[in-house]
Amino acid sequence: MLNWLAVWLQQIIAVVLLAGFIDLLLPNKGMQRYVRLVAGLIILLTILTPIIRVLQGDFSAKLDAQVEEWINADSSKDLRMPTLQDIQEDAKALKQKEAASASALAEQRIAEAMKTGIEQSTGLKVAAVDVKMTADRSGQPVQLSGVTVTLVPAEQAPPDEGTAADGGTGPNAAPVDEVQAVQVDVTPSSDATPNDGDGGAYRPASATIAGAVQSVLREGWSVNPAAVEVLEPAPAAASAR
Amino acid sequence: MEIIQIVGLGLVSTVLVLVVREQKPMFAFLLAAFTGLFIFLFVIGKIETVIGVLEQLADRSGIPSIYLKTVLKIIGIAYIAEFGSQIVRDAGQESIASKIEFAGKILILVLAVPIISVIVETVLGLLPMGS
Repeated sequence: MLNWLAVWLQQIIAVVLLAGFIDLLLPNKGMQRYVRLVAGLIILLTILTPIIRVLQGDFSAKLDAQVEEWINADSSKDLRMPTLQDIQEDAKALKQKEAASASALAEQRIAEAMKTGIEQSTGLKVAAVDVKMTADRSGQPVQLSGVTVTLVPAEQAPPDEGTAADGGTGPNAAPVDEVQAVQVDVTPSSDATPNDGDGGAYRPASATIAGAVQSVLREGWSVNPAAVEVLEPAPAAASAR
Repeated sequence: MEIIQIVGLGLVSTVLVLVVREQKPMFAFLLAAFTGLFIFLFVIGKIETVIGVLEQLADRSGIPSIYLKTVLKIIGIAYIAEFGSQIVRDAGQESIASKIEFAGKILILVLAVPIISVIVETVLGLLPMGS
């Protein structure tokens, strides 16, 4: 009993000394009232320790947990300002995204324009035009690196695998008469293996057609003819097998 | 004799500030701010001994360490807020300085919240509720 009393008194004295110390250490008078409030609360808590212990058991663990909660809540709120590096990274990501969408849009527009241009000037039916652009360091599309033109054969109907692959690559190239032709050609193409149709449906077009397409593209869009690849469906190869 | 060094530094920088202020008030302010920073950093190492004494006291008397932590945080907040607000006040921005002090006071009071809650719970437990 006496021992417990001694410990209690020692604690009170130590806390009062501590409060006196921080009163001395304080830089100015303005803070003094606030600090005195907190110091007074600590002294009060020390004096109340026996009562609290009787009523609530071990309160210091609770106090510890609460303080930890406060500190963690402060830090987990993450109120820091974004650093310059964060902002720059965000900007870089946004720029890349924007450049990607811009070049995709540009490729699409150029492909549409090329398709109409080829159709008007050569009379060939174009299934799809695939344009690839190279970007400079800042992500802006600068030049055409490759053009793939897929033609629809004018008089000869492609076999069904060819049309399937055709519809897959060029969605706007699915005229109704080709579908009818597919129905006609069911029997010869049924013995053809399906992967033949996938892999060998396209072949490079003949030199005259390719040359015509390349000249149109060179005049209209100043595309290097070496970068232009003209493909047409290969119905003969598919139906021969 | 660190006090002589500090006072000498303060006097020299005061004279320099008075000389420079007429021509370049900006440099006068910078000089004052850096002198203050230097003295602060010079003395902040000495506080360590005081804190060591406080820790010994707390250890020997068996105060919960949370009290000492709270008290040290209060002292730190008070010093940093005071220092910052004085620099800002030197630059003539009285309103920003008072806001810094206000933030320091609020943060000190926030540190008291766990203690207050324990006391309030105890007092509520003392009262014969509902009987």
